[in-house]
Amino acid sequence: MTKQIHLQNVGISIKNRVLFDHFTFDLCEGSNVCLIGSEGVGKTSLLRAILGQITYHGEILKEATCRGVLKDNLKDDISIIDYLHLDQLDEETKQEMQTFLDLKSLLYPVNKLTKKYQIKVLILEQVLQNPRFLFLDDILFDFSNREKKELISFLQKREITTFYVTSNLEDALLFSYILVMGHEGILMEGSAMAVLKEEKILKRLGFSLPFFLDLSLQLKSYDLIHDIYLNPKELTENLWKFN
Amino acid sequence: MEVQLKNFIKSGNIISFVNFSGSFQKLKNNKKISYIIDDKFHQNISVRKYLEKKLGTFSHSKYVDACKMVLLDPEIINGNVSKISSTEAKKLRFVEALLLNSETFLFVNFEQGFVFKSRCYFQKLFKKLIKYEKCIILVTNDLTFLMDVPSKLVLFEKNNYLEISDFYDERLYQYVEMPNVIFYVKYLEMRGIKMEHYLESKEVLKAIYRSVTSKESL
Repeated sequence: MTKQIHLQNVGISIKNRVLFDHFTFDLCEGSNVCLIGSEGVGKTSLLRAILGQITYHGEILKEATCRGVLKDNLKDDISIIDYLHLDQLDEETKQEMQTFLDLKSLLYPVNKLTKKYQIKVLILEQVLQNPRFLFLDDILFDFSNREKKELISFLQKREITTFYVTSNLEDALLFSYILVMGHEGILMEGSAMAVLKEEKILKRLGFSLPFFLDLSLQLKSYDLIHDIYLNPKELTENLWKFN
Repeated sequence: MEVQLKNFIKSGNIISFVNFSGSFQKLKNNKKISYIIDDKFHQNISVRKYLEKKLGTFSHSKYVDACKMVLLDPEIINGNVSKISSTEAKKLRFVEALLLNSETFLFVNFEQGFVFKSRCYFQKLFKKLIKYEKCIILVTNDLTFLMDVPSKLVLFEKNNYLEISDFYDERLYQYVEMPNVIFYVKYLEMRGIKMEHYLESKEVLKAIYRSVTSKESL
């Protein structure tokens, strides 16, 4: 049976000021979701409510273990091996973790790692707890596109459903489902392409469309192409073959 | 790598550090250089108390003006610093720097977490600040953000650094992600389509339109 995280009319107030309200959504196992929203709308607070770190009103029912990686720095002066207790793992898992980390040595102290590698360590720390759902709070900004895809693939192989919060629409393209959050709860939701085509709404919220989507839409409006292409090869071959 | 910041500080200029992995911890109590980082606050005190600790007494009207300049709700003064969002925390540090009237503002990953509209706003604000002879140092790998900021690019690699004057310089992309507009222009060049080295997507769009409608072929 597919496990779910069920949110019903979740809201958070800070000192009588309503941050957001009426957030209702069912996060299902196997369906990676991206949550986008303007700054200050309560994205991180929502994650913290789901992870049980802050109080909220409404209902959150968790049918499976959830873990999260919020923005933080590692201050421990201990090696990666010791921080993650990698020596207690079987060889295969240890190798898998090492491949994911992509570092020459696991003896580096975690507090001396660059931000990107600290994030990787923090993610692994949660992955090793075997959660079914992993909540990530806009932490992948120093990752290349290839690294982001590798991360999602790594999590999928371990059957971990990802819920990623971001204000960067280019990242939203990596996910199949998008939620757009406002102070009133969910403003819009749907498949990534369906949501990202709502240009007017997204621009009103302060977003700009991902580059290839925006370029495709504009070229389509000039009748130079008849479809949306997010891949440079397809876009190019459809542009120049047209004539 | 130890970096002597004073070698870079030049009033009325914006300098961008790319692929920088050092620390600025020594700057914590430096009144001439304000260090605006993307870390959250851990103290359990009000914003007012936090500012009083950092600034002593401060003018409320100047505080309100500084808040408006950085798009921060001045009412936050009654809130707890540990409960504000990450973008509010960055803006609060920015307010602190403005109230200190620092000569140099050092931003680390400042643009992260802001939507496009806010990023555009802060790009314009940085350009405004340097007219008042401030020096702005941006530490970030987000070249898409930097393309709209008139700055000197300094690329750090191993134990050296070098100035880069062109966003199409391949040396940048050994370390950081290429902005999509540059990636696509280079891709088109590789496919035999003549393109100028544009930095704006609307220029790429116009060039594509001209090329396609003039029946150029691959």
